[in-house]
Amino acid sequence: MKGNPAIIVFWLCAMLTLLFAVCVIVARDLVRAVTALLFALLMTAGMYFALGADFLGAVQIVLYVGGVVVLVLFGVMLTRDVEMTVPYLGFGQFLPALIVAGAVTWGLWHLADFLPRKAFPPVHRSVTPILGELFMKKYIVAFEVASVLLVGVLIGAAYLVRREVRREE
Amino acid sequence: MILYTYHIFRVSAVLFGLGVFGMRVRRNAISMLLSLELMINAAALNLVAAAAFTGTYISGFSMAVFVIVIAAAEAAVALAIFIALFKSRRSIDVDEAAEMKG
Amino acid sequence: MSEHSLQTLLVIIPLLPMAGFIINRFFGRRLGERAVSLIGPGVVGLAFLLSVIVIVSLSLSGEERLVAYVLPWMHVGQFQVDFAYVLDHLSAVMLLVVTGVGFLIHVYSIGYMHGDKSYHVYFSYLNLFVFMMLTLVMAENVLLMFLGWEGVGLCSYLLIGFWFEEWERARAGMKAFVVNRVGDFGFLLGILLLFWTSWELGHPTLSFHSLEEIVTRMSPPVITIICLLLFVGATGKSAQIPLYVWLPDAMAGPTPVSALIHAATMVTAGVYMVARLNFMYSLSPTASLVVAAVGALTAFYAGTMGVVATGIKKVLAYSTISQLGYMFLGVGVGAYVDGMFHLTTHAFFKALLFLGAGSVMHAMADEEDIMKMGGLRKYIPYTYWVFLFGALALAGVPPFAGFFSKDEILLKTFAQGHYVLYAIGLAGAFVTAFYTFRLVFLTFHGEERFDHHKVHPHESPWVMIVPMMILAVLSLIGGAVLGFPHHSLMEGYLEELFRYEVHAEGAPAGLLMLVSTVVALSGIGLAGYVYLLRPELPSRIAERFKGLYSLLWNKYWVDEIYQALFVNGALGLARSLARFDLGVVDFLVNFSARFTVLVSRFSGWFDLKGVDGAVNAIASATEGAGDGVRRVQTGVLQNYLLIFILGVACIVAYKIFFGG
Repeated sequence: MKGNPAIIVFWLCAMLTLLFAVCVIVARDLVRAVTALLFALLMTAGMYFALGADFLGAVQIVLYVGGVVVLVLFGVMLTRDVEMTVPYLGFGQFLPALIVAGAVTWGLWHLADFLPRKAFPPVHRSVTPILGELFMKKYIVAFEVASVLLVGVLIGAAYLVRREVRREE
Repeated sequence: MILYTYHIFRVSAVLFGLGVFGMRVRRNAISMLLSLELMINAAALNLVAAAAFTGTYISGFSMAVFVIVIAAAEAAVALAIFIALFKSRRSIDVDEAAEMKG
Repeated sequence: MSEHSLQTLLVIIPLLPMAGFIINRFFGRRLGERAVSLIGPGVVGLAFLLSVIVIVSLSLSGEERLVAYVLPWMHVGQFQVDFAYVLDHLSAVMLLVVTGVGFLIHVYSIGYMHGDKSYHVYFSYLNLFVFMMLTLVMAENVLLMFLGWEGVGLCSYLLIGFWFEEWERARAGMKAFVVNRVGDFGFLLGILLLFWTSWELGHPTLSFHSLEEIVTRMSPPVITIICLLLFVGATGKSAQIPLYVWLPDAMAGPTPVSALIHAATMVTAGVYMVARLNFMYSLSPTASLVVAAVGALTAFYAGTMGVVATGIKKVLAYSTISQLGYMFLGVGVGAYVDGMFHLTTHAFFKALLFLGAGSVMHAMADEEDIMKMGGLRKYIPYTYWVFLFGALALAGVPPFAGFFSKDEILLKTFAQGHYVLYAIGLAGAFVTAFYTFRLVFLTFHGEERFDHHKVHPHESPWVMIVPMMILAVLSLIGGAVLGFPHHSLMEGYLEELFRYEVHAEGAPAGLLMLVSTVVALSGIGLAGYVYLLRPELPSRIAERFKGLYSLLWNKYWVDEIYQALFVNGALGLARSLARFDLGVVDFLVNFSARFTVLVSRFSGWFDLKGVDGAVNAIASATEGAGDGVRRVQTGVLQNYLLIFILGVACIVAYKIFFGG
């Protein structure tokens, strides 16, 4: 059991993910928060790789790290000229947040006990063929719908942020 | 070193909790979006773990891909809304955008 | 040469024109006209040389087939499609035709396009076309073939509309594109059905080599449907009935383009496809008969329109459609070798005729109308002679190339017992001979009908004449060398490939040859009588048979019919839907509105009397409750989040403790 490099990689990535997640939350500067999110997502991709889900890791990097984060950065740049840094809330807000988050974490933490317990190594060592099969057969409709959704979203987003064109008449 | 499924579930539980906390504590819309991304990520991690370690939940892989896709779509729409919001009121503080108050 | 180095060379052949495309397209303007005219034809010439080397060494090595895998394309489970080129005897013939004739036309273009402002763009598209065409003919599987198929369509569109500043020319490009889309849709459906059927049989594949075995296990009706669908694609690309309408308009492009794409190579892709899939078409007598019948009908039908057309290129375009019809007749009756043979000789003489026409237009300051020419023989003697060679080959006069190939096709048709098709083909041959020499006589003989003050005919430069001379020599001897009857070179080379090739045992070959010759000569004779001896006759005939003449002159009104049926049909459908919307739907809406008003009047009366009291009570109760609940809608996102999480937690808890 011990010394399997994949396990070590997993734990390393898991710890770094959590560390960067903390950074996302506490960073005052928005750009820093986004950068921390970028690394948190990258480390999640690392976890996927360690679990043998290489295709998912690739999707995570390309779509999430590459797409979403860049998008968020654009958002930051475009709405930035007023607020460079974000103020914290007061202690009155801080405590309820801590309680709620703690309760959720505690609940999820113990929820894990109800689920099947399996040890490393994973059953499916290579995910890509399974995914291909699923997308082309079982989830073909969902897959197509997701594609259409993405197109719709892009158009919709472009519509929302478009500049009003005034016709001179 | 050992690794069981529940370890992964707990990692994702902490990640999710951090997301909830961040969502609650920040007022800036983009900061909230970042926390939301963390939460989505935690959910996807759970799906992958369940699918990878058990023979029964293979669909988890495709669900994870869908989660990522939906997250991308959601981020795009959210940012578009933020930018539209920012254009109209020069701020994306969610406390100030409370017209929905009954 | 080792097999590995042969494979490498084979891959380099199509990559050369691709490199030419990239260089010319992106650096052409900076390189200047001299460099472009070195690179453009140069890469194609090199490709031709390499092709010869590879084909000869393949023959020497004794191998039948050479496959070169370039890239993996799609590997899904069992199903594999690769970016792979194959060289066998069939693709070898096409390879030589495409690069050989292509090279000559490239060289000719140097002179023809001299001084054009988009000179480098022209050559880059021409190079891209050669690449796509080579991909088409050397494709190892149907899908890659389809890629090339679409690619040549794209190049054709780009080059037809090359002078897109003129609306008519741009429109012709669009027409070609749209009509081809119709055919390609059928082709795509055919590919899908092919894939599906092979998948059902437990061996999904699109590779020609493995299809050859799979096809024998398919059920005959399915094979027929696949063949017919693929043939729909062929009618689009190879301009057969009913999708031929784009080719005459495609003459809007530069003349060398017409020679290369719309005569020698691209339009023959359909014939090549049928020959490539001969193992399938042979298994379906119905589909083969359809192919042969469409071919024969097109051969005659297109020829009749060529009789009255007055544009020099238009006549040639109709003759191309007609000659393609002969090729389809050949492959349809199972004479695949002869179909390919006619394809080859046609590439020689039709490219020659187009280049000749280009040379005439060059001399006449871009005049296309043969009614404004005449007597050009003494002004442009070289062009006259090479054009005459091409015309003799097209008319099918022995010993020119066209005679041997066309005669073989007719002979096989006769031997297979398709006497009606044979008769149609023979009638087509007569018409062909007639309009070809009508073209020659009106252009080069007779009185000079052009304006001497405006036009000063002059011979083209050598760079244009030499390619034409080479093609003229090929048109003269090509047929006899490649296909002299009885165990011809072509037949020996290709017979291994076509397992189901039909033979013409027992048919009176000598007699039929004599008949063909007589028919061709009488067609020429009639043209000579009408246009040389009695020049006043044509207009009198046109006057006499006015209906027939205007039918032919207006191309059977097919364009108008298509316009009315499909273009206006689509618009009309939209309009009638709009009318339905206005008339029926609006009526329903209005009616329901009126009905609602009536009902509400009635219920209003009822309300006033009895309900109001109860309603007021409920309203005030709701208002009170709403006032209380309103406070929940704080507008603070964070609170919503909390409630949301709480709800999810409740559901999860319920699922765990109470759900199974």
